[in-house]
Parts: sequence; structure tokens; C-alpha cells
Amino acid sequence: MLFVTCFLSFIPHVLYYPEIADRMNVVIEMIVMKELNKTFPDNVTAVNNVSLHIAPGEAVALIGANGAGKTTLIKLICGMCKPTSGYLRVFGEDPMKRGKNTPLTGLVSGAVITDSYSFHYGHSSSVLQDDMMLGLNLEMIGNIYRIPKKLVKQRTAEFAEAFGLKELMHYRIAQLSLGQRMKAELAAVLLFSPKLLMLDEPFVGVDATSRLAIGRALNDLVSKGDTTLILTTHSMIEAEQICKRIILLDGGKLAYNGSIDRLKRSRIGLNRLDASFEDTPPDLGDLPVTRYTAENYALSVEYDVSDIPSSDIAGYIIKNSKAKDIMIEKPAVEKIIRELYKEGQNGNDDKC
Amino acid sequence: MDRYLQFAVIRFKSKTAYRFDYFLGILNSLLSFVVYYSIYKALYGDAQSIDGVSFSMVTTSFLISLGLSSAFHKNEMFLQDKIKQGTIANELLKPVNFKLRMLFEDAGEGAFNVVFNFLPTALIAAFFASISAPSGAVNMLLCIASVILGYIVLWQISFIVQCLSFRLFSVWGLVTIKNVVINILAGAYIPMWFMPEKIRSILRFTPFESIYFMPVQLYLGQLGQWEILFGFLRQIAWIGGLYIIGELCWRSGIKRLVIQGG
Repeated sequence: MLFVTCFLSFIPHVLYYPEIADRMNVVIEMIVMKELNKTFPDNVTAVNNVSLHIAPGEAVALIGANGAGKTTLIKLICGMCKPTSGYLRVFGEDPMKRGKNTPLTGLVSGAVITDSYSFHYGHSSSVLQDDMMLGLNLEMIGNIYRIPKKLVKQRTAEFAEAFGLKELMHYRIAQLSLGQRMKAELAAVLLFSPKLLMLDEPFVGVDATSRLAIGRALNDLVSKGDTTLILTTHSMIEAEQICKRIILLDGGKLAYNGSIDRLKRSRIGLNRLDASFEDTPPDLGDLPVTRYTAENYALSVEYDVSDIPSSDIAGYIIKNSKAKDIMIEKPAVEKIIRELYKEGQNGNDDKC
Repeated sequence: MDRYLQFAVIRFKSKTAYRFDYFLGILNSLLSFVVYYSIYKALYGDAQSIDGVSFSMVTTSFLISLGLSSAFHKNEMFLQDKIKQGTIANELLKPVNFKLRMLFEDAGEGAFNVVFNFLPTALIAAFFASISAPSGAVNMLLCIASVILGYIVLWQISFIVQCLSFRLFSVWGLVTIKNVVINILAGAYIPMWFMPEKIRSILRFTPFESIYFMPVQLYLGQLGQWEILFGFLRQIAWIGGLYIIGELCWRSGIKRLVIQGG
């Protein structure tokens, strides 16, 4: 009898304690979804039959048009709203019932700031306290997450340098601009290096230099492999820089789930060449390009690299004309995604 | 516990950012003291004492109440704002006891108010008004203990009212009414000595008397041993009772919030 009780009490331990699971070589996925649905009371289906896995340490970009269900999906993962049906586990646990096993979760939401209520008040911050100075706020975060004071100081200095927050340490959060606040929030989240980090449009209002710095900081965090990152953004440049995998949502449905490279390869990724000339542009008649347009002194060509290498086209142009300037562009993921959206919409039309 | 004390310290530090607020705070407390002092001076006239209560007892009582109301800081719109902005969800993600942290942050702000707001006011007031000295070291220590317990009682009442913001759009009105009711029933404005005996015998069993009036009585050394014991037991009982009510309100509120979605 005693043996049975011992054994039975052991099972939940395996399920809930990753230390034991590790010893037993059980891999716990960070996030597991199976046929997850979320329908709001007004009959809007924000998440529609989504099934996916995200492994610990993975960096995933969640992409989709406005209203595609990205934020709802993040809320579901955080346990901030309840799925209508389906199965969802975050590190082996139901996110609605947080237990000891719940990973340290960081959430930065650029979306909150555009909320009408907070807009009315002029400020809103999800991680930081509005009426407190930034420096003290970071100290507070350190205290909440039990980070040694020395480390807090060191990291604060680091982020202050990288994100340009040095002069802002004595400002209250309410006094910061939108972009400054986003940077401050990211610094706060990066301070405690959460196990599961969700960034919902973190680049809202952030300037180009800081974008680079934030991208670099996130890259560092991801490369350490301790943090699972889910990034929602409309800017493909950052998504490509930070994440290897893309999840594309369209109308709450999973439209694409896989690596960015595969997305590029699977679609007709056309390179583009623009050139300007001192006199008439050359004739590209017999080259295997997909399409080209020639104007008075300019030429633009789109071609597939597998048909003809860039060097051949450029060489041909230089040989046959007086080229002033030549510029070659790789296929932008953004463009591919746009195509995907279009396809999705067409697909919907077909059904109707 | 060390960690939670740290919350109070950080809050204390953050208050130093508002310097103008600090001077206005002193002005505010001084003004209310002067108004109160003048009213009672007029009421007392030449009389030494009314109903066995001397004038200096009344002013002392009011000064202590003033000090306590600045020490008893509670950020009453905190929960409402967090719920409306949806940032409450972020708070719940943090590995820290939300209520305890809120309490300690408020206490830190209260400590700031006492040091930089009440103490200067009390020093100035002591110059022109006759204030009774504390009635002994033991009584003073008991007074401080009852102040801390009284704060927890008051804070929990405030928390329970704040929890209504899970259900209501705005709790501002309720909070204001609650504060007026507490200030009157707890004897912050009118000392309990002047309350009709019937009302007082009822109030004796409510949490209100243990908030402002018990520390005053301990300071003045008006309570016997058994009364002190009864007072402390009453405070502890109310802390326990209010804790249970607060916890129930909080839990049901969180559940509701989760179902509605952020």
C-alpha cells in the first residue's frame, strides 16, 4: 500500500518538476498548443484551431496583419485569458493555474500604450511604475526578482549605455516619451532575464539607433539559450534579425509555421537590380530574367538567382553600356509575407 | 521579509523626487492643525476641561490623529488604475505577493510622510499649542505597536474597498465615503470622548476605534491593563477577520478578471 502511494505521488512530480524530468531525460516543450480556440463573447474568433510547439530557448516571430490574433495568442500563453477550447501547456502547466513550475515570464506590450483609456491618461506602462524614477524602478525590479544588487547595478549601467537611457535615470516614467518608455521597459525585462519573454510590438516609437541596440541585446539573450522569446512585430527587419522561426497568423488561423529561410526558398524570392545610365540602357533580350522595365536612363530587373547569378547580369550590363550606378537587392521577407497575405485573402474568397 | 522592507525603502526614496509636494504637505497639515486648534479654543473658552477632557488632551489627540493620517498612507486608486489599464496582468506575472508588496510600498510612503511632513508640523505646532508629553516609555512602545496594528486594520479596509473595482467602473466615490466614515467613527476629527455613550459602546467592537483612538489613549496613558489587553486583542481579531474578507474579495476578483480577459 505504502509503495503504491509513493509511486502515485511520484507521477505528478515528474510532470511538474523539470529538475526531475531532466534527470529522466524527459524534454518539456516550453509551449504546446493543440487545436486552441478563443472566441470572444461578441463571436469574434481571435484564435482559430491553432496547433504548435515552441521549444525552450527558441526565438519565434509572431507575424500577422492587425487583428490577426497575435496579442490574443500571447494573452492565452500568459494565462491572461481563458481558451474557449483546446489544449495549452506552458512548460508542462496550464497557464491559468500558475504553480511552482511556472517559468519567469516577462511581458512587454507596446500595444497597451495605444489603448484608449491609457491614452486618455497620457501614460501607461506595463512593467514599470509611472510615478517612480526609472533608476528606482529598475532597483524595484531587481528586488522583485531577487537579483543581487551588484548585478542589478552592472546590468543597469550596461543597458543605460546601450539604449541611451543614461540621462533618463532620474526621470519618472510618466515623463518619458513613447520610445523612451519602450526602451526602459525592455531594459527592465532584460534585467531579470526571464525564462519566457513575450514582446508584443516592442519597437513602437523606438528610433533606429535604439532598434539596433535592442535587437543586439535580444540576440545576446537568445544566443545564451535560456530564454524562449516570442516576438510580435510588423517590422520584418527585426524579426529576421532576432528570430529564426516565423509563425504567421491570418484571421486567427495558422498560415505559416517554419523557418524564415524556408519561407524565402519556398516562395519565388526574386532579386531586384536597379541601374542608371549615362545613355540608353542595354537590351537584356536573351538573359533569363523574370521581368524588366527600361526607361530613358534607368533599368530595373527582377530575376531568380537560380536561373542567373547576379554577377552575370551585372557583368553583362557593365560590358554593354555606360552604367552610372548599380544596386542589387535581396528578396525582402516583407514582400513574401505580403504575397502570403494576398494568397490567404484569395483563399478566403474562394471559400465564400 | 527583508525583500519587502526593500520595497518600502525604494518607495521612500522615490518620494524624494517630489519636492514641491513635500512643502505643500507641511503647509496642508499645519493649516488643518491651526483650523482645528482655533475651533476647539473657541469651544473651550475659559473652561479648563469639558467632561473631564482638558484642552491639551484634545489638541494632543488631534495632532496624533494628524500624524497617523499622514503615516497611514494608502494608494487608493492603485488597484483601479491597474485593472483599467490592464497592467494588473503584468503584476500577477511577477513572483511576489501582490498584497504584501502593495502594503509595504504604502508603508514606505507613509514613513516618508511622517519624517518629512508630520515631524516638521509637530515641531511647529508644539511651539504655540500646549501638547501633552507621552505618559511613559512603556506606554509609548505600546502606542507604536498599536499604531502598526491600526495601520494594518485601516489598510485592509481600504484594500477591500479597492477590490470592488473588479466589479465597478470607478471606486473613487466609495473610497471618499469610506474615508469620511472612518475618520468620524474612528475619532480622527472628533475625539471619541465627545461621542454619546451609546454610540461609543457600539463602536467599541468595530475596527474603527482601534485605528486612531487607541494609539491616542495609549499615548495619554488613559487605559488600564485589561483595557490595553482588550484593545490589542480587538486589533488582532479585526486584522484576522479583515484579512479573510480581503483575501476572498481579491481571489474572486482575480478569477473574474481572468475570465473577462485582459
